[in-house]
Amino acid sequence: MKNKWLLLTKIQLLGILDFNKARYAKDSKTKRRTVGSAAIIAIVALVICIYSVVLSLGFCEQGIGVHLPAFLIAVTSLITLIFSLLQGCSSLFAMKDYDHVMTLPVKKSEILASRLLCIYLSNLLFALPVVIPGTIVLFAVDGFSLAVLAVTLAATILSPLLPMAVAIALSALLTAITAKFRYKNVLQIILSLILFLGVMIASFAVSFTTSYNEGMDMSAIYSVLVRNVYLPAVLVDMTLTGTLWGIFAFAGISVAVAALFVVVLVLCYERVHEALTAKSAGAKFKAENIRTGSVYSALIGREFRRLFSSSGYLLNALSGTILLVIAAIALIFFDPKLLFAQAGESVSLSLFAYAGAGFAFLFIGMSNPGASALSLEGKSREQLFVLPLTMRQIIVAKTAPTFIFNAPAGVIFSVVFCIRFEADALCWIVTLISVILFSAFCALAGSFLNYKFPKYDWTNPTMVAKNSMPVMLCVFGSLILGIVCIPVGIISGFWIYLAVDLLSVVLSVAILIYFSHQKAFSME
Amino acid sequence: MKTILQITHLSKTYAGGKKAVDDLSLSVCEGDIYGFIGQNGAGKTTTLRAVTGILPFESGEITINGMSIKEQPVACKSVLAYIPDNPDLYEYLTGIQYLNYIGDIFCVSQALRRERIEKYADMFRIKGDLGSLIGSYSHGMKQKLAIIAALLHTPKLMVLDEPFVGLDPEAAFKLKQVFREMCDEGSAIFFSTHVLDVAEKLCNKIAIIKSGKLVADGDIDKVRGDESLENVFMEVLESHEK
Repeated sequence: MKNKWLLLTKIQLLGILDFNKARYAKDSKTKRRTVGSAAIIAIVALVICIYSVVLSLGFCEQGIGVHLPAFLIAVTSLITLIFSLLQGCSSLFAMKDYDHVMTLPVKKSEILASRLLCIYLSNLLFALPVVIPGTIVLFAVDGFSLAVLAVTLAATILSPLLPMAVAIALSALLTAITAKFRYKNVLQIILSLILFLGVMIASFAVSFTTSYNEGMDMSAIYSVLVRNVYLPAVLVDMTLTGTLWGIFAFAGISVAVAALFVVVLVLCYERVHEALTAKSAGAKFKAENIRTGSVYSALIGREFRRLFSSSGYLLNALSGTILLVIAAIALIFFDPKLLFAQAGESVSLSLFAYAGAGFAFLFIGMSNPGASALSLEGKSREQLFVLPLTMRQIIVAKTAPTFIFNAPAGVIFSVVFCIRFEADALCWIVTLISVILFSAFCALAGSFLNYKFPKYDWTNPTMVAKNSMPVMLCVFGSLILGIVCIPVGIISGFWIYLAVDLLSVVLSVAILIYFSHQKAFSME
Repeated sequence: MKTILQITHLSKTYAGGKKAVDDLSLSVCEGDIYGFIGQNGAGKTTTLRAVTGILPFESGEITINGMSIKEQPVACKSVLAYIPDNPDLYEYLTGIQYLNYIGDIFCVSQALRRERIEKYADMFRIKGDLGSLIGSYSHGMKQKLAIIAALLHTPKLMVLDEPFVGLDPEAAFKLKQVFREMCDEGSAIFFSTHVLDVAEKLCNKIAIIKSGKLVADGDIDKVRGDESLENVFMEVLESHEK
């Protein structure tokens, strides 16, 4: 293979996909894990496809199918931006194989190209199940058009470039700003949170403040939406509605920003890596630092320190918690009565109060540091497993941060939701209990899944915190549960939550009993 | 003797202000087995990582085979091999996949690749395991695989960080043999070690580093005089503490 960057990319992809490991592993457990991972990815892709089909059918039924490709591009680009921000610099810098690749006779630009190509491909893989089914629906309803296909294809291929470059550049900038501070990790986390919250608040603000003129048709409304969600997608929309140069401008901007990003990155790659990985050993020891505590406080304290040691891990692990708090704050300022008043409907708000816990489930599942905590032990896991600890102690410690963050955030959201939707006493009790029980179950289930499907050989912690099978199972499992609970809760009241609560308690107890009977961790 | 590695006034300060290497200069010539010794945190690994182009440095110059690591990093790295103290290899690859990957990167021909892999895999008794995943290897086996990968392209300069840690006695013996063969053929070895006995018996030159500064260097006989290297090392450290 002449192109060394392609060779580097191939090696990285082999690591991400785990197929090589399954192919050459001598034990059937590894093969089963890979098949399981593939099945989960397929299910996730299927869920995205179904969602895209439903959304696209809605567009076509409203007669605004022409705007659909631009809307799909806007949605996937926004998600790429948010996910890349969450991933931070760890996708490019501070990789475990940095020393190895930097001693190879390969240009820095080739190393960067291979890394960026992997990030690009993973983002593109996410975009495809959104765009392909949507485009098929569009052609099935509105008829096939070669021009629309060409524009959609070009826009899809180019769409990850701009948000990816902007998000990684912002993360790198944060790293550079904080590099010289003593508490740079904490600062990076705070600034990343501010940046992340900024994007989220701006997105919420846009959604809430967008003014739709009276008499505006659906086509115009969706144009406004596309513009507000992701401005460059308007260029794609322009081409689809008759202005040819739009797609060329979209391509030009995407490629130019990505190229500029690579050029700047080549100049400062080593410096940024050093800033990210340099450890300060300047803190002096004080006798007061010697403290005693219980086994659990030692283990849980270590889990929290691990969580706060990397801004990428923290943001990925707590994105749902953050969203819950943001949603609670947004609800304080947003009066649901206005929504019904605008629609000219007169409905009792308390009917919708039972949707609160369902909404909370959606976010709680997104935040599950416990689902990756065991995998993140990586090679140092033997240091944990040789300690005189029971498996239950280890698992409870790994579970604790997830519950400690999710339960209070869920309660805050539930309280605001219940107040805003004028819940009755029964609804208050059901919502609060359901959110707390589900937080506990979700945390335990995450740790259990991580125990069953660990991934210890990662090259960057985000691979595990964001993309591993236990994390995806928790995210999409809660997503499906939440989507089911919201309408069923509105229709049937507390019964669905009673079922979820009972299931949460039974499964949580089963997991705890299971770990009580396990003797020791496997290093495999 | 042609100089293979020339370090001139190298200084490296980490973020946070810690000066890890301070105005360090030394040269490694063809045929040299150069030992680099010092306490923990003295700056050995920082120096080795700067030499290999992993770590940028603020002042000084490093040339390999007459080329600057800053100006011509790819050309330098193509004649260099580095083995870190704890090789972090791709655990999801098999041993042979890893060697093929390194062979491809260094453009080693099929015939040479086969010859060298067979020779060194036999020598280090790892041939039967090359089809297994690296994740299933012991620390010593990973070390052996990293050594074979480093030898695939017959480097002019081999830089090693604590190369004998984790190797069984036979492999350590064979590695020393390989070092000598390479040096006879015009290559050079620059390695850090805490095992003074190894440095004393194997190296023709040594350098002692303390708190980032070179405190002694040159031919081993000159540095050691009539004493053991261990005594000299302790004396040098103590004299620089006063």
